Amino acid sequence: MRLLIVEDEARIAELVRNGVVRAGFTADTAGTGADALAALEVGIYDAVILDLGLPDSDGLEVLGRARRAGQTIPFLLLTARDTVDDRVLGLNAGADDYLIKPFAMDELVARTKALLRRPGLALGVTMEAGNIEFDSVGREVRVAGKPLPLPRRELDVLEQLIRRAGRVVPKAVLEEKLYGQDDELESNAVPVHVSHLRRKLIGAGATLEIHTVRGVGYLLEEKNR
Amino acid sequence: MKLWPHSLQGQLALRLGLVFFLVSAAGVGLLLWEGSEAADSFGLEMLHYRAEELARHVVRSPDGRAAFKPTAAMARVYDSQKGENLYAIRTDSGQVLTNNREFPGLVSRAQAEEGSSNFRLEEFGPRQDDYYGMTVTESSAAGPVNVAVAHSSDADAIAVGMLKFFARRIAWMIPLFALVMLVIGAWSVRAGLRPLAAISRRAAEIDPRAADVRLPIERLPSELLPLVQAVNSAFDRLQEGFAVQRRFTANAAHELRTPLTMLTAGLDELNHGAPVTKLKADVARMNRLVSQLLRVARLDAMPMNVSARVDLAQVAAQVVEYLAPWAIAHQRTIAFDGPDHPVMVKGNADEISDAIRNIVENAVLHTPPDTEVTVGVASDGSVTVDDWGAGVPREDRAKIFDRFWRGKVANAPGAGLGLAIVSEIVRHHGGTVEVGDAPRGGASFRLHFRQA
Repeated sequence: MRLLIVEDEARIAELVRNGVVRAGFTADTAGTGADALAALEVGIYDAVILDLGLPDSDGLEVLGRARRAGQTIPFLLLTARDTVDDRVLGLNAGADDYLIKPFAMDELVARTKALLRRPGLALGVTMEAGNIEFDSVGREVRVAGKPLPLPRRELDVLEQLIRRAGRVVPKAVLEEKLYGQDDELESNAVPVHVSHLRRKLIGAGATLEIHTVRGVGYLLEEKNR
Repeated sequence: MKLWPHSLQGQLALRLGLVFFLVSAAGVGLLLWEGSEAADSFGLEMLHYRAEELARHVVRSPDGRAAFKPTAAMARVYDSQKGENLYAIRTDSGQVLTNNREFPGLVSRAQAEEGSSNFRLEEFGPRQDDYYGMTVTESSAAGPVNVAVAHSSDADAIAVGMLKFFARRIAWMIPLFALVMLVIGAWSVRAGLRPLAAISRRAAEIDPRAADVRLPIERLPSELLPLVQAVNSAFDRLQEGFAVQRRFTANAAHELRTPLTMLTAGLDELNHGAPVTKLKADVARMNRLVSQLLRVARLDAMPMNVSARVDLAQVAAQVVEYLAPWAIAHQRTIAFDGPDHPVMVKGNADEISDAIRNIVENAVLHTPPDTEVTVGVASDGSVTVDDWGAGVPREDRAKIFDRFWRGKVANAPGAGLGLAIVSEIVRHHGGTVEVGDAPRGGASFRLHFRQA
């Protein structure tokens, strides 16, 4: 899995590179927009971590030019600006996610993995979170290397949670994914599936657990230390 | 009491009216005075002429004495019945040659005023009329004679007659003329000031987000031009000020964040352990402080647009969604308790979200481990955040929204900016924020926004 890190501040570029390499990625760095565009033309990268403040051009311009050149890989923006307009601008320009400086390396790695887990992208086949592995093609789950057989609805729930591991999945999203518009839906169907799944994960010794965010949804998160 | 109008139109009308009244009065007065002067001098000329005429008809009779032989026309003029014109002629020796029989006093009265050739007689004769007259010495066929003539005093009557004529023929035009002048005055003020309405509309659009708007100077009366130009250049300077402030905010953000990013990422490279965990917490606190400081600076510099319709329930639910993982990492939970239907309020979604986030973060930091912070939304446009902490003492409730206020608890987390930001955002929205006791103990913060 190869990432391109576009960041003019050499020290930050190095730290980010070290961080993602520790997480198992391969990474190159580019210090200017021109270098970044040249590197992207080679076509060997799976995702880009792009700083908005570059010496030769604005990061958004680099993003726009890459998108116009047909690049579909995910872009994660890093910005020191956090005004509302900047965020909207970044997402409208074709960014997939953004992080405001300063950020924790764990967060950067988690967001990058989440981007790569999106359907049709590099990580789309096998998703990992903690010691849970989810094979989205074979519909198989392994916890700590051992298979964990799950019914279809619980597999669907886990797939949604693991795609957005570390973030809250709204209950409405789960309902929508589990049942088409036509299916009859009992009001407590989702909580029941989640509660079964939670017990099974605990029983299998998963390092992640499902938390309920009452009134909003569910969250797959590392167990509290 | 408002006697003097504030509007230019009113002032102009009042002044024009006053000036026109005074000028008209002075003009009429002058006209009457001139008229009576002219009448007087005309009267004196006439008297002199008559005296000469009378003297011409004094003849020397065959016996050598002076005699008066008036013509028939003269007899009519000096008809005593009418009493219009009086006369008395004396010879050089003082003997009265002739006079109106009914006005014997004329001789003595005229003589009594010898010092002057002119005289006035008030309430004289059988009809008690006023007269004016003159005494002159003329030469005649019978030698020098002293002639006194008097004329019924109708100088006032002339003036009154002139005034009547004036009133009948001219005076009615004065109010009409005044009215026309007032209308013209009011109209020219109104027309001249019409561009002000456009300027007012334009000025109402100006705020720091639209600081490039300038007041139009086309078609402006020259009297107003300097004012509007001065205001425009004041706007130029203000706009520059805002630009400087914004540049500073942006630069400061970048300058502070870059080293903090290095610090944060650098700590991640170190081996885990108690000292590193502590350092990470310190850096996280500093990160939060810096972003809140910049947030406060930005709130001060740029008023936000708060006119949109925002679903408060959705915004609050998203805040819970966003903060839940962080709360869970701190062994606390957040729950959302709101209606299924949207709760529409007037405002700016990002700012409202920011305000709720600050309150919820505050609650999570103050609630004990393994307790739940509840975020409730009510249909009246309010958000309530309850925790299980120690609550806010009654005497501190007014102060907690001040910047950098941190209470008596020395090791309280945060820099004391979060609630100041909340109160600022709420103020921009025309809403309220208050703190009370939660139903089961702890603090209860309630944000109220205007319903849309």
